[in-house]
Amino acid sequence: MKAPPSRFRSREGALMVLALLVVLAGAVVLAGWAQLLATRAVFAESASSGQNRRIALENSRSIARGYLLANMISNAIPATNIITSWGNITISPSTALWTSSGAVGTNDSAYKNPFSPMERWGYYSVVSAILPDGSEAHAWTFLIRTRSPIAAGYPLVLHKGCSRAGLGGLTYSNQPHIDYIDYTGGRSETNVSGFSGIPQIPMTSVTNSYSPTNAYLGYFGAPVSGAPAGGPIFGVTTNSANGTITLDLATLDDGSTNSLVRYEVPAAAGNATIATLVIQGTATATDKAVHIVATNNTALTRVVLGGANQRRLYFNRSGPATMVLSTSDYSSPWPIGITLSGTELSVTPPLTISGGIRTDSPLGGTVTLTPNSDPGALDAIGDRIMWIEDFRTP
Amino acid sequence: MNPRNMNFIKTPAGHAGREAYSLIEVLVAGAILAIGIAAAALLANSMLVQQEANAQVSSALNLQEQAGKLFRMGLSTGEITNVLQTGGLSFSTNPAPLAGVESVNCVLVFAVGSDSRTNTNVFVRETNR
Repeated sequence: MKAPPSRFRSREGALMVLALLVVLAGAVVLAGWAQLLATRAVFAESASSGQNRRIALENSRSIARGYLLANMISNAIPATNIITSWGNITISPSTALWTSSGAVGTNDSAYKNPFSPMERWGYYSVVSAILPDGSEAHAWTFLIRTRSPIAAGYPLVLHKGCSRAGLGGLTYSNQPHIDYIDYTGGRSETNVSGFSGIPQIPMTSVTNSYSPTNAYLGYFGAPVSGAPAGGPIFGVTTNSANGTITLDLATLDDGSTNSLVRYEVPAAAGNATIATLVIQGTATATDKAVHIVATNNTALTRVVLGGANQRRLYFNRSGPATMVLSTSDYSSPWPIGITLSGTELSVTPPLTISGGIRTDSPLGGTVTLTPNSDPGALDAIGDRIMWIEDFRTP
Repeated sequence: MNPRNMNFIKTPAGHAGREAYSLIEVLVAGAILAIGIAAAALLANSMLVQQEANAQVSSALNLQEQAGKLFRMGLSTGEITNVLQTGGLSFSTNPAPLAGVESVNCVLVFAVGSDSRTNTNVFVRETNR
């Protein structure tokens, strides 16, 4: 017997559909909630994996940076897999790191430093690497940069005194946040830059001149790796009676353009100990430069500037000493860069130069530093800081 | 058997001539509902405990990662411990992987609920900094 149709049938059906929808929505919410909790449960494990990979990648980066810091001064980066137990960190071999045409004396806008206040950007070298993170390998690029801070727009640079340790025949100074190379280390005479591998002074040729034996004449341009050639320098007179050497800037080179003279102050001339260096002359050739080095082997305590020189001049003095920078008939601010390592300097009478001073020792007297009209004038001959930048290769 | 008992949809009580839910059916439904609620409560409780443990693990791992960053900034291990203000960190020196870098082993002991866990990582930095 069939039941009679209920007059509430349509309401019952609607109520049931509504109840089913509520149940469905509740089930979806419950499932989502459970899924969220499950995701949170595995989050820590995922985070741990990510953390380990980040740490491993940073370790790889530190190893590569440490390796480059220890080897970038040398001529070549010979590594392939520098350490296999860390997942095959690979640094691309690089020969003649600083003497390739792309690394020295070439301005490349691709790696221009946009934060530099000056128009030049020093030198750089690019080293490619593969850094593992324990799971994947990442292509990495290291930029080894170097430039003179004086040429970069810092006319007065005071370094904190530091202990020094020899590295690869050079003196390598470790600062908390700055690594720089100065002139107190060894010098390779076969390298035109004065140092093995540093883009100190790009020259086309150089020679250990015949007279005097501690002077070198070369010319600005691309560096060479072959046998040097050149001629002696002139205009050097020695007064053995009072231990004075005089450099005549007007007649120092062989008359060629773009010449660069590197002169190392000798410890003695004859029986006289050299204590005074007179740099004088009216030299107007701004394309030429003179680089004077006095190491701790000398007893040089006095430098006298005289004349109206416009030839670029860079003076380096190292070693524990107190030196006086004086003038005699000095006119117009000379374009001078000075780097002092362990040497105190007293400037008297007051002096104006168009360049800058780097020192890690006390500086006294009165010196007025003015910008050079050519901000890159001292860039090629100034000693420089060196640092590494790196980024993940895009 | 009354064929109306075979109807899947039962009409609510109160309507004249309709059957109501039996006591057994209500009890069974109530039991099922109670089991579901209890299961959900247990799940929620365990998940909350797990979530708390995850938060502790994440915090500890983050702390250790920060220790690694401080190490690479040049801080000594003692300075790192002082900066992070945690007693669960300990360091030991590893042999240098190669010249120019130095390495330490960093062990972090931290609490997860009533348990104690240990996480170990190796940090490397350049010697010349």
